[in-house]
Amino acid sequence: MSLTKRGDESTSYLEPVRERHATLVDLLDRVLDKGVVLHADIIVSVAGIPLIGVTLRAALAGMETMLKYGMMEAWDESIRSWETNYRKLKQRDFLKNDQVILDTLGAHFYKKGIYAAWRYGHFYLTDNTLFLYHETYDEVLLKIDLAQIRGMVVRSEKSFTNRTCEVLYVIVDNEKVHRLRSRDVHTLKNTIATFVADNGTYTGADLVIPEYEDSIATILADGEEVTHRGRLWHLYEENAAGSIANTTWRPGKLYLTNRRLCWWYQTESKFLLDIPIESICGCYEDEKSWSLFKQDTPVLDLVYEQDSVKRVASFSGQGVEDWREAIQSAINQNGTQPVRAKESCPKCNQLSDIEHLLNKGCSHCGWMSARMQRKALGAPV
Amino acid sequence: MSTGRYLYCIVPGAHKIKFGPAGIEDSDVYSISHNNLSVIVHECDAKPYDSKDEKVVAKWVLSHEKVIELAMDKFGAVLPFRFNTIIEAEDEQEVDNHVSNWLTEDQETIKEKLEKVRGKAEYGVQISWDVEAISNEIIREDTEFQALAKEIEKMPEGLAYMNRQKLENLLKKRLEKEADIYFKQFYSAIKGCVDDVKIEKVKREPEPRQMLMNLSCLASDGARALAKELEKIEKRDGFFVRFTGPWPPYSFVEG
Repeated sequence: MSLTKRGDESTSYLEPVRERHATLVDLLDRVLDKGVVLHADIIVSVAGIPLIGVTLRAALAGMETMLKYGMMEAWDESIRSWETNYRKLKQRDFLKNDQVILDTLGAHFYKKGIYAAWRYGHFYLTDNTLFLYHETYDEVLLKIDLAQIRGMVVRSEKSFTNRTCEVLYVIVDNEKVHRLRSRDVHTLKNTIATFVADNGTYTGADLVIPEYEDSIATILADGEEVTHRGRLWHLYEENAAGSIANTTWRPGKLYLTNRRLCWWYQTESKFLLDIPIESICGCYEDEKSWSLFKQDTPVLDLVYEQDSVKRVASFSGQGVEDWREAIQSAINQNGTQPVRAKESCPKCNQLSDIEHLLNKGCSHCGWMSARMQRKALGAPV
Repeated sequence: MSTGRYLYCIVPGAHKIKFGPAGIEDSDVYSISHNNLSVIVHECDAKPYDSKDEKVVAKWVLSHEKVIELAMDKFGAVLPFRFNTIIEAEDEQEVDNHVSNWLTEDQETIKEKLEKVRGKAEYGVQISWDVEAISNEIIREDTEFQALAKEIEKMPEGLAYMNRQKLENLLKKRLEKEADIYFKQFYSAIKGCVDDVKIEKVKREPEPRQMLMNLSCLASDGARALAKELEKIEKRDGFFVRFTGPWPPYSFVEG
């Protein structure tokens, strides 16, 4: 965008504009809102904007927003009723003549291609359908036929930002799962439940949710089962051609099956890691700095072999300790004893067993990890 | 039989004037006089003009404006009525009396107001700035912002996002402060060269423009002094002035 001024115009000073189209809105501002108002009972259209103004303004000045925020409270009755009717018209359009039993703000999780997000709107529950409606766009975002609901359950979930929120899972006929949020999901669930009780809908807390659009389901082999899953960050190394290697923490999901460990990269919707359990040499808890502001974060370091090269994959997030145990027991169950991975001491460069090096220190030169040093000082680790 | 009178404006002095078919829907416009005051009207039914067609309404509004402008040119002072102001009565004879009665009741305030706007007109002044350009300037001149922006580049994506939000909020506050300073500066400069100022609600503008102030000014002599002041503001980089008028003094007759 350019900031160039219009140059020195021929006029010695700014001339006021009175071009018809450029100023119609300016005129309306004045003619409709201002001017002498008569305060007498002999007048036909009294104070406030006459009805006529509304129609015109709606077309010209984005009136809807003004209506919504009640910026013009001094309207006379006729205008207020016009507005009410207008709203009714808009909202009840999809509801037909059904009575609204519950009406609350909420959201549903929407996923299509690479787009995935909570879409917010207004839940309207009738005795046969649940609607999620977006008023501004006048769009029904979600429509669930109550007769098709097979089960419902509320789960407390943690998001990546570590905020806990309650999510209502609604499972419908074709095993499709809807994730819904609302101000009070329990009320929503219970109200729906009163209408679907006769349909054999299961609402117990132990309801098993078919994995919600679970990415792992697409790559599972016969007899393969997910034993552990969770949201974990992965220290991902970007190795674009011609550029310097750049490692950053990326959000995703870690899955442990009875055969392998996979990490799903949320942003690009694909698996970036797929490691057979027999290739895993071991896993360790460690601390790494996340950034300038977040030091000493517990991380899970996984040593594995790929193409005869040992590699390390780092994960961070909730329950790192549980993950270490889960992976460890998966390795043990696999029959193969964990390969005692060797690593060179950062100080003297002598090869030692990794676990020994990290937990006991280097037996050659006495090097200790930062974590051990702190432990030795009695500081919390 | 028409039992309503559509009101355009009040002018000083007793006149028996006929404007001809200059009004809304080519209505015949004339004056009703009483107590050395005249009201410019046309005969109509006692119900407001209403249409869903915006073109029709726009035409009506323009006719309303045109009649008032005619009167303003002719009599030098007008009190414009709001669009769709109609006085009604039970029968034809009564309705002109209603108008006269009202003129009598309110004659003092009316005359006072007419005196105030005599020889003057209303001008609309809307001053906007280019938020993007001004923001860039703030960042360019502020080493603290620059340092923070550099630091963010090194952060992992999630954290960088949060910090960018923080930076944006900081910038927003700075912009508000700047806007406040400019508002005061421009307002006092403008107030000094007009007879009266009304502060109006600012309006939304297409990005990156943002309206800083929306004023209605009452000024005489073609608002030359005001125009010179606005010219100075318009010359600043990143600022835009919208200057409209002369209007009938719609904003200075209320109350």
